Amino acid sequence: MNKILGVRKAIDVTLAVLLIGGLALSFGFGCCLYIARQEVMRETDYKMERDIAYIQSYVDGELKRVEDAGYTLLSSKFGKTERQANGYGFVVINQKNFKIPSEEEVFDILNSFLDSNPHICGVAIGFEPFLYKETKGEYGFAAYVTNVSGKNENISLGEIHDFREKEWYKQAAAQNKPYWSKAFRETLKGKVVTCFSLPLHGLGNRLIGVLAIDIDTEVFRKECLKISPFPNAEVALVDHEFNLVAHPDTTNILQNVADVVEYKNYTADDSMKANMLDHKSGSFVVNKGELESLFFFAPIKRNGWTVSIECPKDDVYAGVERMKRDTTFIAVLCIIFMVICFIFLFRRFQKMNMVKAGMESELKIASGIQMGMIPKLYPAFPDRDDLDVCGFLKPAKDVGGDLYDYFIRDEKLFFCVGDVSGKGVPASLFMTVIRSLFRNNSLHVNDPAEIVSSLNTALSEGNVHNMFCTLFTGVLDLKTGHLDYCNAGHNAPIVRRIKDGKPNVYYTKPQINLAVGVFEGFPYVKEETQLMPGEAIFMYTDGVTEAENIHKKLFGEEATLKTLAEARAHNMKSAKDFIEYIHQALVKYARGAEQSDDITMLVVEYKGPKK
Amino acid sequence: MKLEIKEKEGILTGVLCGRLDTAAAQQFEKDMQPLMGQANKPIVLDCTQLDFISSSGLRLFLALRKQTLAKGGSVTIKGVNPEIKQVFTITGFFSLFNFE
Repeated sequence: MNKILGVRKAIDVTLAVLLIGGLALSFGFGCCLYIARQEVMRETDYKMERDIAYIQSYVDGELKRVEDAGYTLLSSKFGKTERQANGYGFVVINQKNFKIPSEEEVFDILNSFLDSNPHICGVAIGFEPFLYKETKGEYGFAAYVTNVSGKNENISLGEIHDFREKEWYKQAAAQNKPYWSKAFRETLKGKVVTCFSLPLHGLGNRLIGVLAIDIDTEVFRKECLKISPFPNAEVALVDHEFNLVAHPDTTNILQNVADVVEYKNYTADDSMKANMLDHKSGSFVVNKGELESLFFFAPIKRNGWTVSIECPKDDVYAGVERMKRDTTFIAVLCIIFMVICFIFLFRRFQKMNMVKAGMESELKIASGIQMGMIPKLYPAFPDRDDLDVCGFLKPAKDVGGDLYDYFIRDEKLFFCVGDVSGKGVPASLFMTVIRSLFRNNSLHVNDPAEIVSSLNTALSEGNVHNMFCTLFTGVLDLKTGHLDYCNAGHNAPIVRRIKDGKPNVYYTKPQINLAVGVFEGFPYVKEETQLMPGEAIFMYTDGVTEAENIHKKLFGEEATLKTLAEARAHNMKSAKDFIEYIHQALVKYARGAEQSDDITMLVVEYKGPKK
Repeated sequence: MKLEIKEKEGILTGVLCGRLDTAAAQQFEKDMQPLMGQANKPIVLDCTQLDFISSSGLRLFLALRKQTLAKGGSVTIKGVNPEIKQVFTITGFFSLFNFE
């Protein structure tokens, strides 16, 4: 039963280990994912900022190239460049012998400028009306050279419209400083361009005219399209009025972000929006319905535009999600495997349990049979007053190899105590054989040596396993107290003699014979003695003298003798009391240590002839 | 329980070490098979380091003795401690072996 409980406990422990292991695994897994997400977040920040910085510097570089070209043109052809303290440059015509170029010369200058600056798609210079008074144009003179599919086209704007009312001229003139226009679609070829206007001053800081340089924003759009920190990331460039200059969806170009459907649905942190409007850099999370996106932005200080990258969170965490999916799959496989193992183990345990339970019940029955063979009644012979006999047997396992027996035939008490080599089932089988042989052999024979000899003969024959048994056999004549005995390799019994009216307890020194079952034909020797009324003989197996305590220390022969003497002193008169006293002494000595060997005791007290 | 078997000048020596109780007897029975197989030779069992012997252990000593008896060898037991010697004495096994 204990073993079944043990197995159940093992299953419980296995379950607990599985459960705790699973929990620990899940926790660790969760931690890993969390760390991975953090790491990805950091990595994303880095990537986004890096790419934004790239676009920033690219656009800024292109703009600067245009500005520099403008300054160079004006200062080389019209005057010298001066930079104001606020960083804005403007050009002053300050040469006394400066000759105003003719209209043709102006076109030539612009043509050669355009030819040497392929990144520029158009250049215009307009003059105040007090110059070029002779021009044909209704609105004054303004030369515009634009590149149409590799060929320059000269346009005299003053003949077409009032250029001084146009943004490129008006803004630069009004602000009196270099000016970058918003993006717009130029009318000739439908290109989306932005224009850099640079005022030109004469003596006394008087405005003479404005130079305007157009660049095609297509280069920005192309550069933005090249950048892709994540598969679905969208890079956008807006001008200072938040009109889209670059966007993956070309239909949105020049639309104001406020009007673009995609951006209309955004809900985001207002302070961040304010930052963006204020041309600062930053990032925020936007919600587009159920989708969340990361939105990074940074200004281009030169012209007040803003570059932004938007990336769906799903995209950012795609790697982590893949990892989560894969590891979850593996984890599920592991759990299934573990459960299968557990079920398999459980079935085995169950099977083993059944086998064990079956074996245990068989052992119980065997134990019952074995114990049933041993006389256990007390008083053993209620109708007799000439002797007091009591036996005790406590196997270390269910069945054991110790035995004792006694019976009366022809006013003679036949008794024996034996100890079979080994323990458990093999010893118990041998023991039952010995007990039967003892009964059979003593049916007609009164000599203990003869009984033992025939027993030995029967046992030695075919004893391939070399089992043997130490056996003390006695025959007590109940009429006289005469005791014949034969000790076949057994522990020397203890006797209690009465000397001068006082009890005297000591070990006997019987003749040593070989244990039975060892060698056929061993000459067993009979000994004899006389028991006086009140005298007793105590037989035992080494389970008594070699009883172990928790420190593996043996009880010992001396302690056995002492306990026996004490029992008498404690007025343990009956054989049963006597044996109980010794048993208690052994239990006390063991202090809970497991019984290591079978314990057997037999007391025979002769009380004198029957009255 | 450990058994170490040596052979020198035709004499087999088994050195026993530890406790030869019922639990150890099973392993010892396997370990002593080389001795059983050469029971025609003089065998010495060095029991100097043997702490304890149970009846199951005695059974195996007996098995070896019987084997040598059948094949013409001998068993000499060396260096047993007083407790073990008493076990041999009580059971009458003392007379079966040579003691040194």
